[in-house]
Amino acid sequence: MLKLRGTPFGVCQYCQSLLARSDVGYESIGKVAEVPDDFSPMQLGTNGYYENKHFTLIGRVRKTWEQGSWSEWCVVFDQLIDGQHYGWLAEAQGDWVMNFEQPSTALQGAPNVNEVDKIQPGDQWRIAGKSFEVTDIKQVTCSGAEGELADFDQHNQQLLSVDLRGDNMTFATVEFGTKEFSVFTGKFVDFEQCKFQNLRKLDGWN
Amino acid sequence: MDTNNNANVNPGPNSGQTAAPGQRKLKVIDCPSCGSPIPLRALGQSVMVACARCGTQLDVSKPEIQIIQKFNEAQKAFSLQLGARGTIRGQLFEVVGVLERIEGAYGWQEYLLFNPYIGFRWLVHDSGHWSFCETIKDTKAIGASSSNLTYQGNIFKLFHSGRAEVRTVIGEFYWRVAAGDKVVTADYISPPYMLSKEKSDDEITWSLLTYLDPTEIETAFKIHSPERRYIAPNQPNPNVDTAKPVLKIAAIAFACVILVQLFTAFASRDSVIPLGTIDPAQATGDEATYGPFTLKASHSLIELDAAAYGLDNSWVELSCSLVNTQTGTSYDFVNGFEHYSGYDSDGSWSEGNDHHAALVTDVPSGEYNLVINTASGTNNGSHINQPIQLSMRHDVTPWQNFWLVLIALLLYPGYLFYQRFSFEKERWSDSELSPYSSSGSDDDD
Repeated sequence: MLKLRGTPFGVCQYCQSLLARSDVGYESIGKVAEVPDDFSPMQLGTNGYYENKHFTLIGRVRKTWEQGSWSEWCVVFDQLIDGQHYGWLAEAQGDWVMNFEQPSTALQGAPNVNEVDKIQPGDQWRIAGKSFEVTDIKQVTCSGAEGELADFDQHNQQLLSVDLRGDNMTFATVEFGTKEFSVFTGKFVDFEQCKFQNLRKLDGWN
Repeated sequence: MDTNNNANVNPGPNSGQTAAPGQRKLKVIDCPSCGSPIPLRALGQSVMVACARCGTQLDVSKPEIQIIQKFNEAQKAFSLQLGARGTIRGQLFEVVGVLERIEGAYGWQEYLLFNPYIGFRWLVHDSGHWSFCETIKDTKAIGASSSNLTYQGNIFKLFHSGRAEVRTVIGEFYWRVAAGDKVVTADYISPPYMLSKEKSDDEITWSLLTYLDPTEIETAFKIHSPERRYIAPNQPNPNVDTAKPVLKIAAIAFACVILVQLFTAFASRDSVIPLGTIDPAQATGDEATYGPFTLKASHSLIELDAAAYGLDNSWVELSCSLVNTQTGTSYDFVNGFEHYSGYDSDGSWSEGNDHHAALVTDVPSGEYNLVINTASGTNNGSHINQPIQLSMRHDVTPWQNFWLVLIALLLYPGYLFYQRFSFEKERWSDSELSPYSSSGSDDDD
C-alpha cells in the first residue's frame, strides 16, 4: 500500500515506480533507483524544528557527482513558512542545510542555461536582493529516490549544480537543466538545534 | 603500486552483515588488495577509503565499490587507531581516517572524526600537541585588518604560510585524498585558537583549531600522548593565567601603599627645629645639651641632620641621647659620617659623605633634651676644623620603606612578565614572521 498525501511526486517503496500526481490521481511515469544504503541518522518520518516550525521528512533524492554523493530530504512543514509548504534538507559531509525553492526570476547575475560553462568559483550573483558567491560547481545525476517528493526533475538526467554562500551562514543552490534552472536558498542548520525526533538507530551510536 | 580504476570489487565474506530494518549496522568490505576487513564507518558520507593495512584506496561513493589506486605499503603506527572512540568537548566521535602530512621534513597527523548525528571534525596532532578542528562555514565572518584577521571577536596574527603535502592516507574521507596532494597553507594564531587556510586548485577551506590539553586526549581515547616538544603555535601561554590574579593583587597592593604613604605625608607635621652649629675644636670631649623640645606626635619619626661641608679624609661621630625631662628615660642613637678621597693608579677616588641624617623611631611624645657628645678626627688624629651644622626634624614622612615596598611589589609581577615574554618569544621562534626577532631569518626552521 502506497500512501501519498498530495505531494506532486512519489516513489513506490515496493517497486520503485515514480508516480506523478495528475487530475485523476497518481500515474506511474517511470522507475527510479533505490537510494543506496548509508550511515545517515535520518529516515522517513524523522521530524524536527526549523526556526521554531515543525517539519517531517517525507522523501529523499540522492544526488551523485563524479566523486561522491549527497542526500536531499524533502520535508513538509505543519504550517506555511515564508509561504512555502515544502523544504529540502540537504545532508552532505555531515553538514545540514535547509533550502526553499525560489522563483527563478529571483536570480540575477547568472549566465543563461546555454552558457553555464562560464560559471566559476568566486562569481558574485544576487538572489532575491542578497549577494551570494559561487563556491562549488558540479555535474550531478539523480542516483535514487524514495518517499514523497515536492518536486522531481524527470526531464534532466544530468544537472549542473552550483552552490553559493551568502552572509550569516546563508546558502543557495542553482540547478541548471538543459532548458531551465531552479533556484533554492537556505541556511546551514545546527543538528542539535533542530531537536530531531524519530531518528534512525545506528549501530554503536545509540 | 598499480592503478586499476574499473575493477569491480566483490563484496567478500564480510559484506554479509545486513541490518535489521531501522537499525543500521556497520558495513564491512574486504580489501581487494590484501583481504583485510575494512569497516565503512561513515557510509554515504565517505567518498573513499584507504585500507589501514596496505593503503589501497577504494571508491565507496557508489554501491559498486571500485579500486582507485592499489598500494602495498607497510602498516603505520599512529597515536589513535581507526575506529577508536572518545568524547571530546562533550561529544562522542569515532576516528574514521588518518592523514599524515608533511612540509619539508616536518610531519604531523590529522585524524578525521565522525559522529553520524554531528558530522565530521578533525583532531590535529603535532609533536605531542593536539588541536580540535572544525571547518568554518560562515567564512564571510572572517574579517581582515592590516596583516591580521578577525573572527568571533579574536584577532589572529599570521604565524606561518607554506605548502603541505599528504604523505600517508588510511581510512575514510569525504573527498578523494591521495598521497602527494598539495595545498598552500596559511596559519593565523590567537591562542588557544588558530585559523587555518588551505588552498588547493579548486577550493579554499578555512578551519578553526582549538588547542586541547594532551590529558584531554589521553582521557578521551585512553592513550598515552607523546611528550610535548616545542611550543605549539596556538598553545596557550601558561603565564597569562598565572599572572592575571597576581597582577590584580599587586595592583591593589600598589594602590594601597601609595594611599597609605600619601596619607602619612599629609598627616605628618614635619617641623624643623634648628640647633645651630658645633665647633669641633671646642666641643670635642664635651657634652652639649639642646632643648627642651616638645615632641607632640608620639612614636613618630625623628631625624637628626648633621653636615660638615667640605669634610675630607676625616670622620665625625655624634653620640646622641634624647632624654625625657619628666621620666629621665633616654633614647640613644649615633649620627656618624666620614669622607675620604685620594689618587691611585686608577685615578682619583672618593668615598663617604660629608653629611648624614640619623633616624630615630619609637619615641613617645613628651618634653625632651637632646644631649650630643661630639667626636671627630682626621688622618692626623686631631679633631676636624669644619663646623658641624645641626638641625632636628620631628614627625618626618618616611620615604625609604615606601620605595622598598614598591620595588618588592614589582619583583614578582616583573618575573611573571618576563616568563610570559620568554614563552611568546620561543613560540614565535618557529615563525618566519616573529615580532621578537629583528632579522627574522636567523632561525634554522
